Amino acid sequence: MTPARPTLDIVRRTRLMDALSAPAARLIVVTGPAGSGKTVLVRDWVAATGEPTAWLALDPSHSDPEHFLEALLTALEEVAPGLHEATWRNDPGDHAADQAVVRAIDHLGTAPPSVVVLDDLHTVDRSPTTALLARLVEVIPEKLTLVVCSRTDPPLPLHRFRLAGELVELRESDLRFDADEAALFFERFPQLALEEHHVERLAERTEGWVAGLQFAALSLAGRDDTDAFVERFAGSDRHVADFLLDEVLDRQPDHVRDFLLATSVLDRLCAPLCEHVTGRPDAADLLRRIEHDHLFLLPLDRDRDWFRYHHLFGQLLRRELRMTRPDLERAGHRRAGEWFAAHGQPGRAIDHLLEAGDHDAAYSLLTRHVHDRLVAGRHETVRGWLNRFPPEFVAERPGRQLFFTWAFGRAGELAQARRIVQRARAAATPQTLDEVGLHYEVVEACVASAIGDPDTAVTLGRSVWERRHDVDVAALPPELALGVRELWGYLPLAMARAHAMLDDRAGVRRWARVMRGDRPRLPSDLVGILGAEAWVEARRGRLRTAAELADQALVLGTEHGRGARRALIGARTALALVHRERNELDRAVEVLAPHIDAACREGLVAIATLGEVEMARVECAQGRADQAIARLLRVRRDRAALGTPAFLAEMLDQTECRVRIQAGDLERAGDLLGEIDPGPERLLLEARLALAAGRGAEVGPLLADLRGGDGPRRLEAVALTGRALAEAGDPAAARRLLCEVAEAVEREGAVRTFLDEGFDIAELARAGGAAGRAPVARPDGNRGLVEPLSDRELSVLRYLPSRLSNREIGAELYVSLNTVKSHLKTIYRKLDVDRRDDAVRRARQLGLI
Amino acid sequence: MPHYDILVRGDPDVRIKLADLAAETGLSWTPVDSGERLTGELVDRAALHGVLDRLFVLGLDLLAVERRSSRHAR
Repeated sequence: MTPARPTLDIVRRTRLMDALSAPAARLIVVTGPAGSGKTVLVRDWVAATGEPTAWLALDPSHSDPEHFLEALLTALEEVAPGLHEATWRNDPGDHAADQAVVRAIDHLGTAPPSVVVLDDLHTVDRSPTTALLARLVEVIPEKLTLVVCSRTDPPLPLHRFRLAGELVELRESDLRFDADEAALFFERFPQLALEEHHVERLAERTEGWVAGLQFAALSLAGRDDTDAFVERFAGSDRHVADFLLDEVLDRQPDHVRDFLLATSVLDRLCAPLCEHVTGRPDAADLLRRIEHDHLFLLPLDRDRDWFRYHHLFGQLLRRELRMTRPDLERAGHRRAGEWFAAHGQPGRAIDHLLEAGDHDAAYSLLTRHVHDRLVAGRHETVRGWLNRFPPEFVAERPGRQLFFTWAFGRAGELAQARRIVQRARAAATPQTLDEVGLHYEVVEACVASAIGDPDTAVTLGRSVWERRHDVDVAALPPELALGVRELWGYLPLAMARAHAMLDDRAGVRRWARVMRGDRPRLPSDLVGILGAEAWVEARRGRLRTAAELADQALVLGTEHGRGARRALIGARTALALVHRERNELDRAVEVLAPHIDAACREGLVAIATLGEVEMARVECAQGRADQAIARLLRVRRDRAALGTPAFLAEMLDQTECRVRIQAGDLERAGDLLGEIDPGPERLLLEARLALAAGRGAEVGPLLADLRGGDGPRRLEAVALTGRALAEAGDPAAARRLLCEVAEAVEREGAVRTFLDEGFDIAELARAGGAAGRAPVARPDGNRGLVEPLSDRELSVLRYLPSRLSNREIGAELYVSLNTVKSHLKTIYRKLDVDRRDDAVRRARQLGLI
Repeated sequence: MPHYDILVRGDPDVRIKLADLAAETGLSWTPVDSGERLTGELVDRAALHGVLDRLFVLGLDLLAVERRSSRHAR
């Protein structure tokens, strides 16, 4: 919103205005309790500076970082028109909010000096939005001054700014009105005729708290016992609350008092809304009068269309309303919900309807708008809504239960989804089970897939799919049909992921065909399917195919925006595996590490765990075994809290065993080996342990079968056997063995497995098998180029197939536009091309992307 | 200015987080038998609540907050 201009009769606080205007200030923090005058001061200051100002008044709904960012960008339109649209175009998909901030700031760097005010920041304390804010502060351009008003210190690196001399702080002690300012304040109320000692006494009793002064002024109007009143007045907020009700609210005319109470349910007010809520056609006049009478009504925009009550005043009004007229409170919320729904603001409507306890209406709106919110990535908001419905409402009808399980699952609350179905099963009659039992199984299959129990998921999924023709959705009651349609629509993705975990390529492809044959319920589902396909190909050692599929997923995620970000974690994990196998370790970290935590928070526990395992493998390859072990121990602990399915436990055991061997902790590795089920992975670990323990002679026989197989396990078996032969003094036999797989390795670029055992397999292939146990050298995807691309140039290259502009690529990589252009120039030269399209084509021919 | 001792539960991951938090708030941090202790002066209630919010967001378990006047601070 455009900041409202201050009213003419406010007290101008020159000493504070001067402090705010310090030339080096890049971050201004104004902290103090409610009613200490933060907002009025900053509003007066920005009006005086005359600089373009973006003003965002925060409330708890901004705890959803996506909502916060949308609101921030809308506010920033004031200082950089067109910014909002430009920022969201070609959204990068993953961690969209974070990247959009970077782009917005980059764009703002070209705008004239301006001010961004975040008012009431404490309302989003302890929410994911705070992490976004920290990012915002890191990249804030010099020409932009960020002002934060809050009741608590914001979660920002204030100390760093303080040391750099770039921070201006105004705190509770600064905001207190001194005697002179209190005197100026009371000049606005000439009818009170206060004497100097009255003012001094009131300033003293309120400790300069301006809300206290205002309560006193309102209470004194019409009294003739000023001396007694001043002596009796206790200025602290605890006492003022009661005082306010007795002395201020009760003295208002009935219609004003009723209006104040009835509209207190609104966190922002405009005349038409107040008319609908109160039924009074003179709402606009009443708002004007309330503002004129200093009854704690603050304008929110320059046109004075929207207002809010001062927080403390609003809180007191709501408390009074709840105690005296709870029926009015519910009715007010209900009517506000109606108004917002009719005026295209379903989110606010749902909030009010939930407050009114009108769950039917809220549910009806939610079912119509939940898709929009999920596509927009507003999972935090959806979770908030879902959790506000009482369990008994959810349990009332099977159709609701199915919808809520689906919505909780989509929004990342698997535990809730599972709980609802467990309760539903426990309470179900035989008839209910007959009607909806099959759909419960669909939920259970999807949850099993998400938490990392692929065997259960596949068994259940196959079973329900065979009975899918028993379900005639068109014949179901509408409410039941809604939940059924959503759940069955999600099943193919859940199943593809489960099959991917089991390395079952045929299963993944089968479910991918089902998904593509039907219309996906959400665009992110297609991204998720590509991720599952990429993962299963990567696990089979088909690295080129895996990279292509993962790239497709990333591009699709880019096109489909913020809601697709959760689904991208599968593609990122697959891509990290590809990079690791190709010994591009930094790129593996870059593509995956920053995204794991978010995926786990949003319910993709299994894929996030696979991502953690992949990161541990990368750290191990980087020679940081200690870090890998610490990571695995942390993951074990975190997952144990939720119950770790056997599949994930096995995966963690295998990886830790491998890392322990590399770290030389053979005792612990041996213990872990005892926990691992028989199979190819165990054989490979046994061979590793034998080699590490100086029993290399055991390796050949142990791995004989695996060497005759195919895929990555064959390569690993060959590498380990080759090492055993070389260490036994027979390098020629090792060389012959490695030559058998060198071409296949060369084709996919999968060199890491051999580097781990000390072989430069790429060099061996080039030398036609003459290299033997060569020194480790860095293989790469640059073969065929006279001059290889650097890691940074390869990073830029990866973004060329997308639709991102050069500036946006820079934002993705945290470099300037000029740096990107410089990299592009070098890339074109090295690839011998002149255009972006040709560069992409050439890079694909060379297998660089 | 009031001086605070803030005690949080110890954990292998806690120290990295506390080191960052201490650097950003100007507090000092020391391991003690019962956990990890953040200590230093905080200008007012807003600053204290800011630190407590940060601890919450970082997922750290708060065990105790003790306020001492400056003259008793070490």
